[in-house]
Amino acid sequence: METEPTPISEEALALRVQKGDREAFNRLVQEHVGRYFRIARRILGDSGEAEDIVQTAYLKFWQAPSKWNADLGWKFSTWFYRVVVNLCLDLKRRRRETPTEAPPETSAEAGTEDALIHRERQRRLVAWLEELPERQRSALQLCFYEGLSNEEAAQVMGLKLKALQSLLMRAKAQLREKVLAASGEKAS
Amino acid sequence: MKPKVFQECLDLYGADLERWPADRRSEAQAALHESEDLRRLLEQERRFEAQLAQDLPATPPGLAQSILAAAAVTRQESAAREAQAAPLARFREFLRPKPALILAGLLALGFLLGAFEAERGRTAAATDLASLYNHGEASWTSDLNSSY
Repeated sequence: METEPTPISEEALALRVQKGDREAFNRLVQEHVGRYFRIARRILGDSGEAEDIVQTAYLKFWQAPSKWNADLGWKFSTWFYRVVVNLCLDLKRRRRETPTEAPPETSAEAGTEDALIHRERQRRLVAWLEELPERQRSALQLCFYEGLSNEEAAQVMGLKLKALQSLLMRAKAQLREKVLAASGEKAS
Repeated sequence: MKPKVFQECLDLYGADLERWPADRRSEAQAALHESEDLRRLLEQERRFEAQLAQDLPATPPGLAQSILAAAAVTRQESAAREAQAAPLARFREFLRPKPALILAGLLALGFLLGAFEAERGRTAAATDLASLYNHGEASWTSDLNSSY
């Protein structure tokens, strides 16, 4: 019978990677890659590019693990989110020079009426999220989807807390208006 | 708590009151008992968040494996680079100045020079004495010859 590995925090795994522990690196990737992929996917709007960015970020850490300095008071996840976000923003800056239109991705199965409605709602939501300015989208992703505190998200984005909160409020106000209008409610 | 402030907190911390700062949370919990408006805002925020949560991109199944494979290649490349660099590194290490060795070498050189100088001094003194003796003998002989 296969036994489940003992849960180890992302922080502890990253510290072990700094000592050259390959197994810790494997676990760090396998157990935590999803959240970094999601933020990259949200910022870039493209799964393939998001995969490349997350891979680059992990390889950077593997090759130079001392770049994360726990003594400076940064949680590993906060520091690593920042690495991923900065890589995404760099890519977007480069991409702006040669713009390409990627079709929005959806995952709902076609077929039943419910699935079609779900798919349509999701498509609209993706479109609205992608209409948000990049920094508002990042703030929303970090705080709402990834559950970071406002302080952590501000650290990731290199902003003052008030600036982050302002982005977050504007993002939610815009989205709320659209989401509730589409579902026949009136935003307060 | 006024509805405007409550809505701002909903925007900043979300519909899960557990994630709110403690002081705001207790203030909001008390206000929720009192205000129908606040309860409506909270309910609206929950529905909104439920809609947003529908768009949570799934992680591609092979992503972790491809990262680990790339890391393994990186490891092999750096191991190969290290192996390639090893003879050069050994040579560089050989050329690198070693203070203790240099000090020992200087001491040995100093000792040898000292010994050499001492030996030369002794030889010179002996030569001087011999030349003095020879010179003395010659002059003595010539003195003798001249007196006879």
